[in-house]
Amino acid sequence: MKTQVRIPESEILDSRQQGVSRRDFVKFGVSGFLGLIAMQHLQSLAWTPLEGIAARAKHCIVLFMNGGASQLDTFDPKPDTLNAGPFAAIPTSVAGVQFSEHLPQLAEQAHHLSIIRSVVSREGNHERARYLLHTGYAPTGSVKHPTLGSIASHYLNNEDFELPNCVNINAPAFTSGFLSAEHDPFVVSDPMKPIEDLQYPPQMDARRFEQRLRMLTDLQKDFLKKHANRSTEAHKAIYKKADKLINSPQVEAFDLSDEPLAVREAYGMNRFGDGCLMARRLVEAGVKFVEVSLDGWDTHNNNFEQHKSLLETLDPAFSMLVKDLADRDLLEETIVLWLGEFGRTPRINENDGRDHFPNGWSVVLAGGGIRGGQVIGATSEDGMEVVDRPVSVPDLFASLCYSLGIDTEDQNYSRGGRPIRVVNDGSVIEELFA
Amino acid sequence: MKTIKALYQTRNSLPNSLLILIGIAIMLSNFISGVEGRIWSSTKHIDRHIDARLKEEEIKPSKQSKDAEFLRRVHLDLTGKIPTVEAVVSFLDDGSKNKREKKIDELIGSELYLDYWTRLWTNWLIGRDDNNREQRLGLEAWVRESLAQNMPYNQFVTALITAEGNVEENGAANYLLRYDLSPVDLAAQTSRLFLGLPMQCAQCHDHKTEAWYQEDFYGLAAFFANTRLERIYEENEEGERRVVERILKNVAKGSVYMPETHEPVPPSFLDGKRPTTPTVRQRQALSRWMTGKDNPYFCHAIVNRIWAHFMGRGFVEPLDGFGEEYPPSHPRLLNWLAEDFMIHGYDLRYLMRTILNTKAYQRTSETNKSNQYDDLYYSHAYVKPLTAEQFFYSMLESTGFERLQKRRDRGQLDNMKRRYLERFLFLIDNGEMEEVEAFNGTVPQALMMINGSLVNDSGSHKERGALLHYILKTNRTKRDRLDQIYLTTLSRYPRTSERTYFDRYLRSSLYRNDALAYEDLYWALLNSAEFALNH
Repeated sequence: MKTQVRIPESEILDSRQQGVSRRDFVKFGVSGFLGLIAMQHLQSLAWTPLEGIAARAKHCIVLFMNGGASQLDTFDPKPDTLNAGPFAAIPTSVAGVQFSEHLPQLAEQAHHLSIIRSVVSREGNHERARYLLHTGYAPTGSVKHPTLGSIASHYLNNEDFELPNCVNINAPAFTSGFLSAEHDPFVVSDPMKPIEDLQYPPQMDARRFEQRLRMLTDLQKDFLKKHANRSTEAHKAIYKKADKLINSPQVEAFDLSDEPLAVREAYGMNRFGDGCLMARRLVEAGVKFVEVSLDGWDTHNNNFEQHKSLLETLDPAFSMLVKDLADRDLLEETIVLWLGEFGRTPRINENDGRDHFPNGWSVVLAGGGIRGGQVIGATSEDGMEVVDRPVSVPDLFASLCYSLGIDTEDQNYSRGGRPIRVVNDGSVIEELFA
Repeated sequence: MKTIKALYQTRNSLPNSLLILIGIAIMLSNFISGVEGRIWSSTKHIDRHIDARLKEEEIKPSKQSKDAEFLRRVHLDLTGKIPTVEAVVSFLDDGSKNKREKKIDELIGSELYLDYWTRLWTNWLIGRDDNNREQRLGLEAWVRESLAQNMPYNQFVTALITAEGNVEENGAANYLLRYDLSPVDLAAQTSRLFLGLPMQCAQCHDHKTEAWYQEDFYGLAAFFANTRLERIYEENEEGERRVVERILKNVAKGSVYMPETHEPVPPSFLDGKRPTTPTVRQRQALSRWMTGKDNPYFCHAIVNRIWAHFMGRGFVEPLDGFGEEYPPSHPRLLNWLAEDFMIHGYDLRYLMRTILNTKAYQRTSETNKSNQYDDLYYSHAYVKPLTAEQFFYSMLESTGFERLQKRRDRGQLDNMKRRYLERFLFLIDNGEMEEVEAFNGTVPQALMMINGSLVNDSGSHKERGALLHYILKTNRTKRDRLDQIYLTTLSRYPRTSERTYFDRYLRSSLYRNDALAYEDLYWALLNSAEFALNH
């Protein structure tokens, strides 16, 4: 007769988080309800990428222009029109494609880049648009959707990996929403400084630390049993991750002092440049998702002065990142996405500024199996509307997931128990991969 | 036409005279039942309603909380931090029957309460974006004064919506200024916070799930279209101009336009009616309409918000989810509480007392078999993650930061505090308007607790000025030392099993100096889930 082993629920949850293998599963011989949950989980693990093209990307880097960058002053210039502004357009390494004159180094990398000039959304409010561009969903209030990095961490999780799978640099992050708290982003508030509190205090050693942790586990066992809920689960998950991180030699990936000074200088030697460099190091070390933010794009006043200085920060960092990844043969397996929460109005306002514009703006992709050197979609002569190939935010998410091999149709359950797809209503932008 | 608008149009409110009569009756009954040991009739009403519902759902509620559990919770909810050791000990020693009620009365209106609710309200009103210090401080001062006077809530909101005059003298003006007087931003925030309506979605498109159209939103925004800030300058000898006065005023014109058609939109209430006041008085008209007795959202939204703050879940979730999509869990109770709040003169302290004295609030957070999955019917106290600020101020208390750092000067101390708090608050982007949960997935915060100097310095047995050093020096027996460490960190005495565990730990840890085991204990308790949660 087959003996059934009873597994405490906490164990099951743990093994689910770490991703059980089919064999482990059979060995335990669990039945009934718990079995069902686990089977569903296995099915999602067993999913294989869409037919035709294998998933190429293993990592994703997002460069987020907080506040919303102007498409006309970056990747969709409209020279000699009423809305052009003072910036000239310059040729790039791709014939017929022009960038703003303040992106000379990126212009040289244009053959790696795919420019989408026709993104359309309906969210013109910073907070709402930021939510949309991070989760693929418009905010609804009740459901807290996971941020893209948490989605990547959830699906591409490698249980032996000691670093966080999702890192946000330079800005606060959205959360893992209804996914497990272990997929919450690890936030690096300033890449120019060492990560704080990664080392034991001076009087501590590994053995004593072990002992302390055991005491903590023992003492709170009773409390956790009587308060089995999301908050206590999250607390446990975070401490487990922190413990792994403290003892990991892989944390060197965060340490930029290993890099030659010339490299740091090439990236710009500022928070954004160092952030991009850290992103490259983290990807090399195996981190799945890194987001680097550059703030200050909400240029209702003095758009051009402010954009010029921001572009001088962006240009070296972004172009070095692409070049560096390509030189190290990492670009094929790393999809890079440049974007803000919306674009800016083509019309220049009375304060020499540009306002929020979600009706037709640009994002840039590189690596991860996409074809570089192309432009997708177009806006009208005056920039006021999309005239070719409108692309929605869910389309963008679907394409990223496609590149990363994540099934967009897969469903997770919200805290209220509602099933929610990874991406809703989006289709892969096929030209990107053609 | 539309369901919600219909609600606005058809709702019958009780006639004024009847409301006054009910008010008098309630006051009388409270008076008659006596001050000692009284439980307010409103409080009883809530419990009757909640309990009846639990019975219907066949859920067995948890027992009432123990005194220490209650005290920690009510301190966190009213003052934003854990109680001091002295407060715990004297409360546990107090033998009087109505000590919980007395404690609630004592905390509401206390200095700590004013500090905490000033911060809360300021964050609710203008978010936590700290770019404009002057604006924040101006609003904070005004909020604190209003809370200290216990200004009726309808007057509080009216003052914010209709603020005008010299900004230095009228701190309420900073609410409008925070949104740069932008009509659309003000419409979004005002409807969201004071009416619980998610109108901000209608800024860019007709609402997907509710019956709000873009023109409703812009009609509301139009009320703010004629407000201007006038700056008065003074020129010094060198001919440099500087602002000496800023005056918020209403002008006779100003419009908002529909985004696509660019047609001007006249001011219009959400029930479709138009104000009859002259343009310069239109914000007064808006506040009269918003706070009016017929408005079915004004009292509901605030009652729901305060209820959610204490109970861990609103009747309507999210708090700005009034409308069709998120029906209230206890619709009749919500209506009743809103009406009760109105009858009692929009008194926020009355509302708080009513809720905090309920059995529902005072239940233990420990669950039983029958209610362990309940997160809707208030069968047990819901565990609330500490907000980053609650966590931070509690940590200052339990590490003796302020008590033992008296040697340092004030400025240095404030700087240290700000630096720590920033690290806590920086990490999560949740729209800046909501409270930030301390442990919402932030490994850096866990690292700060595990390895950081605040916890480890105060938990040193030999550093002079360290809290643990002080505890060990002033308490000589193991029993007293454990008591002090538990009271300091978890605001309760240790249980017998915990004492036994520590004895065993002392023996098995092989430390040459017992003090190291106490260090471990102090560290473990500060890093426990019990410390990080409001339960």
